[in-house]
Amino acid sequence: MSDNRSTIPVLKIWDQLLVALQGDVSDRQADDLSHSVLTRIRDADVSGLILDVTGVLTLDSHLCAVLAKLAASARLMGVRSVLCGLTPEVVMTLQAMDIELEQIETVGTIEEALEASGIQHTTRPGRDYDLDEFFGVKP
Amino acid sequence: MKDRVLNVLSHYMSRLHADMALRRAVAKVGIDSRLEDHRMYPQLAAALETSLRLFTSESLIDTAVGELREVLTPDEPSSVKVELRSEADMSLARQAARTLAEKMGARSFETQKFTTVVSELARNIVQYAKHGEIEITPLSDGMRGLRVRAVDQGPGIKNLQEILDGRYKSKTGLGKGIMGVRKMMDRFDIASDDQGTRIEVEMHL
Ligand SMILES: Nc1ncnc2c1ncn2[C@@H]1O[C@H](COP(=O)(O)OP(=O)(O)O)[C@@H](O)[C@H]1O
Ligand SMILES: [Mg+2]
Repeated sequence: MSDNRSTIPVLKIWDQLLVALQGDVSDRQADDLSHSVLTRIRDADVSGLILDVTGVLTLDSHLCAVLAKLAASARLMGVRSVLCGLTPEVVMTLQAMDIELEQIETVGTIEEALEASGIQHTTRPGRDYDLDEFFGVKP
Repeated sequence: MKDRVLNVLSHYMSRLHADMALRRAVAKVGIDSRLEDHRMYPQLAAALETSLRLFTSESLIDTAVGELREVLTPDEPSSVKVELRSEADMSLARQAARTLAEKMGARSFETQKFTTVVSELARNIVQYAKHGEIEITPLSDGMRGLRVRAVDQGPGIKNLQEILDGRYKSKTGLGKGIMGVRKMMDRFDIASDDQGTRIEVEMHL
């Protein structure tokens, strides 16, 4: 389990900020995160924010409010936010509590979040010769 | 627990065999891989016994099985009390809730629901009453489940009726805590006046 006193890292990949929340997220961590994300947005060339909650143990109404508010603030600074990694358990719990995260765009996986930000996956081109033929394995 | 089981097994077989035996037994009885669900321990012990017999001589087998059974005695999940004064205590309450739910064999959705309920109640205490406590108890009277008692001596909930009628707009949060708890749990009791607030809920498994 991750330490709920440590700082949540904010990674920058090209013009995207990527945050993977993990374990038990304390209020302090969530507040610090909002602050450091907004500072990074102010100081660097950022056009998207990806919030991955796959590893979050409990997403309660307060953490939802913090994330929604962070997304709203980022939007005011011209940055689009995408939330990903909601597990079925979390989704069902939020539904049962009648909490809607409609203010924030949601996708399934980090890959989809990157795609939503215009970053595309390309496969490396395959070999242009046949190894079996090269070693004479194939007639 | 996993380490303790492996420890016993590796007195009687190589570590590698012990690892494999445990993995097969876990798959066979369908217990979670961290061995949280105590109710499955007897089945797990039985499944491991089969492997023990393959590796252990006739003279040692009874001791081996005895040791294994002793390690795998299901301890009755007992109740947990968490004092709430600060934010760090809220994390403790959530952890206690999760551990106890897993021990009771709650499914992952139930564990998620339950932990979220405890988180909401704990937050309300710290946020609005400053100080209080939460007690989580396994139900005993023939019903499988968990009970939460959240008690504080804070100022009480002023707009309780409004909240329960779903007309309340919160200025301090999403305003979904108390109603969410009520919707998710199988029993919900609340009493609040200027002496404090007492909420009792049950989740049946
Ligand atoms: N333990 C408590 N003591 C005093 N007031 C409380 C307590 N719990 C909740 N409240 C009051 O009830 C309201 C509704 O609580 P809740 O449904 O958890 O929503 P939120 O906390 O998001 O406002 C709170 O805004 C607060 O005014
Ligand atoms: Mg609340």
